[in-house]
Amino acid sequence: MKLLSSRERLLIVVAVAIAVFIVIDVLTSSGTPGSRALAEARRKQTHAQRDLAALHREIDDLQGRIGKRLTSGAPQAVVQDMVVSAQAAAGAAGLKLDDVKPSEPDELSGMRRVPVHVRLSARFPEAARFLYELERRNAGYEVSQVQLVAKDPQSDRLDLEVSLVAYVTGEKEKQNAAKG
Amino acid sequence: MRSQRVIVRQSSKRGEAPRSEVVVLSLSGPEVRVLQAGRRGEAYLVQRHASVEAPSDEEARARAAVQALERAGIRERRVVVCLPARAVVIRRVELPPAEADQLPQLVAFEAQRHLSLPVDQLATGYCELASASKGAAGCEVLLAVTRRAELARLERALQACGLRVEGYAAAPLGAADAWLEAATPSPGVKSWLLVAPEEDGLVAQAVSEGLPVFTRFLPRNGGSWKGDLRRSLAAHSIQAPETAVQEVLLAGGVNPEGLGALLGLPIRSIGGGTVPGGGELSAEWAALAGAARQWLGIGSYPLRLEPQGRPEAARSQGRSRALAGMVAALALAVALGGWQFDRQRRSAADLAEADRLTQQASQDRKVTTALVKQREKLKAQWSALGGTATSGSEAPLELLRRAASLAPAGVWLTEMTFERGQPLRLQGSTRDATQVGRWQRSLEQVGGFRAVELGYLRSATVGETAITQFRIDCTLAEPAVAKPQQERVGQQASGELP
Repeated sequence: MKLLSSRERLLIVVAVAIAVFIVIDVLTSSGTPGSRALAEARRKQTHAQRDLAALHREIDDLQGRIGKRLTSGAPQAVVQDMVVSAQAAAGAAGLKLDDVKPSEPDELSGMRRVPVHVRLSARFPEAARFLYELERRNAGYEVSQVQLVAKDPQSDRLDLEVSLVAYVTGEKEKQNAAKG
Repeated sequence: MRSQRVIVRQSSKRGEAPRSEVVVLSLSGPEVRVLQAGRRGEAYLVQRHASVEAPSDEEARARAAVQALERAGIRERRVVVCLPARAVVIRRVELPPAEADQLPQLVAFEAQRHLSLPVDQLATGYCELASASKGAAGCEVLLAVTRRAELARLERALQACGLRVEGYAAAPLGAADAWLEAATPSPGVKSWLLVAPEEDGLVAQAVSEGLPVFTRFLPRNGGSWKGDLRRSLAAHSIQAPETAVQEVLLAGGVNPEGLGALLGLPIRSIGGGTVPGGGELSAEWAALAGAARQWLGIGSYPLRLEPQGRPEAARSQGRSRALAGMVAALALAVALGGWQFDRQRRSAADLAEADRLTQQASQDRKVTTALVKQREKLKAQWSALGGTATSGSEAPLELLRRAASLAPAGVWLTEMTFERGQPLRLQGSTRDATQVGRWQRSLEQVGGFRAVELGYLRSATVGETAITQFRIDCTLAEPAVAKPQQERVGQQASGELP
C-alpha cells in the first residue's frame, strides 16, 4: 500500500530541493555583493586619502621652500630696494656703480620676476668684495648672473656685470590668496 | 481428537514464525478478559489472565482492557482481539480453481455474498482447507467476514489507550479449538457436533473427518437455542447428507436435558467445567484460550483477520511524517529565507555606504587632481627659481673666489661667468697648456662643483706670442628637490584621473 500519493512525494521532493539549494547557496557564497562593493570602496577611499595626504605634504614642502625665495611688496619697491642694496654694496667695496638698469618685470609660473642689471669696472679684489657685500645683505634678491671680463691685458681692471633678480607673487596669485 | 493439520494456507502473513507468547483480549460480554499464553514446543501454557467488569461504551471498554492487563501483570501491549460470535460470520465455502495470489480477491468477493456490504468495507480472514485442495475442481476455505469500520473503530479506541491490535481471532472458532483437545467422538462416528458455551450463547461446530463443516452461534434465548440447533442440523442434513451429524458432544457444562430426544442423536458431555490445558480456567475463557492456541500455531482452525486500522494508521503516520518533513523543510527554507532577506538588507545598506564612499572617493580624486595641478605649478615655480636654495657655502661669489684662488701661475683669466642654473664658466689663456689641466684637477677638488669639464682648448696668437685659450665649465652641485614618494603619488594620481 502506498503511504504517500505521487503529489505528496512531489511536494516533499520540491521542498527538500529548495532547502538543499538554499543551504548550498548559503554555504558556498562568499559575502554579499554589497559587502564586496563596500570593501572595494573602502580600499579606494583609503588609497585616495593616502594620496591626498602625500600631496598635501609635498605641496606644503614646496610652498615653504618657494615662500623663502619670494619677496613681498610691489615690483617698483623691490627694484628700489635692490638698487639701494647694490649701491650700498658698491660703497662698501669702495666702488661706484657705472650703470644700474632695472628691466621690465615678467611673469614666470605665476610669479613676477623683477631683474636689475648692474655694471661697473673694478679690480678683482674690489669686484669680489662687491659680490660678497651683495650676497651678504641678502635683501630679498638673488644674484642670478655674474660676468667678469678682463678686456685689456695690460690693465688689472675688470668689467663686472651683475644681474640681480627678485621674485614677487603674481597678481593672479595675490587675488586668489585674497579670495581664498 | 488432536489436531490434525487441516489448514493449507491462511490469510495472515505467510511464512510468519509461530509466536512463543500471545496476549488475547475479549471486549464483548459482561466482562473484559485478557489472557496471556505461551508455547514451549508443542506444550501450551496459560501464563496470566484477568478480567474486569465491562463498561457499556467502547472507549471505556478499551480502558478496562488496560486495567485488566495491569491486573493480570501483563506488560505486553500488543494484543489479539477475539471477535464475538455475533460480530463475525463464519462459513465454509467452495471457490473455483485459482492461483494462490488470486485467492484473496476471490475470498473478498465471496465474502460479499455472506455480508452484503461493498468489498472495501469488509474485513475478511480465511484458511484454505486441506481436503478440498486435493480436488481438481477448486478449493474450500473457511471464511470469516466482519465489518471493517467496526474493527477500525475498535483499533482506534485501543490505540488511544496505548494498545496495539496485531490481529483478530473469531470467538466461535477459538472456543471450538479450545474444546477439541478433549473432544473425541465415539468409534465409527465420522461427523459430530461440538456444542460449547460462548458468552450469552452457544457455539455449535460441526466437524467431519477433522474438517469444520459448519459453525453456528446459538443465542440461549431462554432455552430456545435447542430448537435453533435442531433446525440447523436438519438443514445441514438436507444440504450435505454425506456429512450429517451422528453424535453431539457437549462441552463446558452445557445442560443436555432434553437435547438428545430433540435431536434424535446420542449426546455426550466432555471436559467438565474447565478448559482443557487451561488449568483452572472456566468455560467462559474457552474462546480466548482457543484463540491463543491458534495464534501460537497449535490450533486446528488458525483463522486470523488482519488489523484494519494499521494501513490507515500507517498511511496517516506516513502522511504525518511527510507533513512534518515538509513543515520542517519549509521552516528551514523560511529561516534561511529570513536570513537571506536580512543578508540582502545588510547588503543593500553596504551598497549605499559603498556608493557614499565612492562619491567621496570621487570628490577626493577631484581634490587630488587640483592638488596635482597645484603641485605641478609649484614645481614649475621652483624650477623657475632655479631649484636651489641659496646658502653661504654655495654662493657664486664664494665659488668664484675659490676658483680664482686655485688658478695656477701662468693662467690668465679673461672672463668668469656665473648664471643661476648654468655651469660656472671660466675662460682664460695661458702660455703653458698643461696648466689648464692642473687647474681643472684642482677645481674638481672643490666641494661646490658637481662636475668640472673642459669647454674648449685652442691655440691662438697675441702679437707674436703663441698662447692657448681655454674654457672650463663647472657645474654646481645641487641638492635633491623632489622626494621619490611624492613623485609616485603625483604620477599615480594623474594616471587615475579621467
